[in-house]
Amino acid sequence: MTGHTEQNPAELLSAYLDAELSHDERAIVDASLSADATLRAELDQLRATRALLRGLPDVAPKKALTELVVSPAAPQRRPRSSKLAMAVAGVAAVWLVVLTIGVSIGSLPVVPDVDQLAVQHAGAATNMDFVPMTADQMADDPAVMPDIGDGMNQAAIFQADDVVQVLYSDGSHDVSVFHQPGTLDWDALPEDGETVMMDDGPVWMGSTNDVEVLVTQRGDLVVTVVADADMGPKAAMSTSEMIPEVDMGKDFMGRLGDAPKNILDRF
Amino acid sequence: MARRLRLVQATSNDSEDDLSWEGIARDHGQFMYTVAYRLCGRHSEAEDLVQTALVRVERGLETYQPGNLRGWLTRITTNVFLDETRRKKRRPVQALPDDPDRVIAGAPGADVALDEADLPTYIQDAIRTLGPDYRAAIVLCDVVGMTYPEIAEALDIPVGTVRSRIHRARSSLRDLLAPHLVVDDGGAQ
Repeated sequence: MTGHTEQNPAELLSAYLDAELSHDERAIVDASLSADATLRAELDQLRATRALLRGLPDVAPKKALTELVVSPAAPQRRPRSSKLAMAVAGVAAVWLVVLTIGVSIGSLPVVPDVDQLAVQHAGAATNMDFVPMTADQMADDPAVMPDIGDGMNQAAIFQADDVVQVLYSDGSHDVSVFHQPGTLDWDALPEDGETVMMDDGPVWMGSTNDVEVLVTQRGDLVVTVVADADMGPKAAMSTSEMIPEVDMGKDFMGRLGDAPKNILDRF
Repeated sequence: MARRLRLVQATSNDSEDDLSWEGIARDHGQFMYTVAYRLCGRHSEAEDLVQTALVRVERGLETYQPGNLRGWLTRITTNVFLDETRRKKRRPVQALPDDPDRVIAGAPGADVALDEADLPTYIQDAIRTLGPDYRAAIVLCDVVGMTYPEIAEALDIPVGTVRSRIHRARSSLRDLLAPHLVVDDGGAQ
């Protein structure tokens, strides 16, 4: 407490009001108050300020609280059904059917096949039929970025159904960022990883001898980051922070061109 | 001082609480919303904040040790607020000052107009001018009613830092709210 007793008594006034001073500190402030009318006036003003804050009422949500807390999965979804409805109203009937299927798929729980994505990152053959895409073809996709910092520039883009892979490279190391629309099914992720809390929310992390894998939710996208193992887990974590929160309501129309075709191809 | 919430101390023993996620959302959602709103000052932001906080509550329930439930909920809500403001800082939308002496001047949006209908917004607007770290400290102290050690634990900072942040925040608010202060010299603490 020695450090505090050397402080200007004025700096201790709030703690004095809140009864959070030691006995010695309190004695010092009391002595100063008895000798300094300015300090007493300051104390009165701080007390009045505290009274204003303490008098603030409870706040009721504008929406019914039950709308916010329908289920544990609900909080991550933001209402945008009206936007989707407007989009649907604008397309032809045949597209309406396809679109409805697409919306259903987009809102279903998604769990990325992290093993296959790790294989794809390594450039080996997978069962997911990735095909090369150009940057122009993906220009409307806000999750496709020209670079992710630290000299990691976009090197290639691939797509398999609704999964997009963007490969970034600095010439010696590679990082792949896969994304697909949907809500991440956290419980279905492999048990040999762990979920940790980052600034932007929870992420699942796992690793093999070759790669570090991170899976998380970014807005309406499920994002999987695969980084070369010798880059360490921080590379995947810092990469995930670069991925923006994508609102499907915003770029939904831009996806209409490819998504229905991809969905039709499945059937 | 009848309105001071003293929400944490009043429920320091949660042995009788329904510790299911649904029970917490039902019984303490309003409390979390009040904390969230006082921290961010906008209903739209508070709703998002509470949603995110409830997700963290759901994930944290498995490891939660019964004790001070509202303290735990306050810590989660506040950390979501601080995480969100840091995230916005990395991808700036609207910068928040770290210096509580600075005041953001801006035209109120529809959200603000909505709030003004039923709340004393000059106080909330003053709180919003504080940097997020100062805002968190003063809200936890004067709105939630936490003690300095409780705030230190919730924010994972030393008690001395809590003390200085509260004093700076309160001093800044005193200057901003000067026209509204009712000074009663020598009143009880």
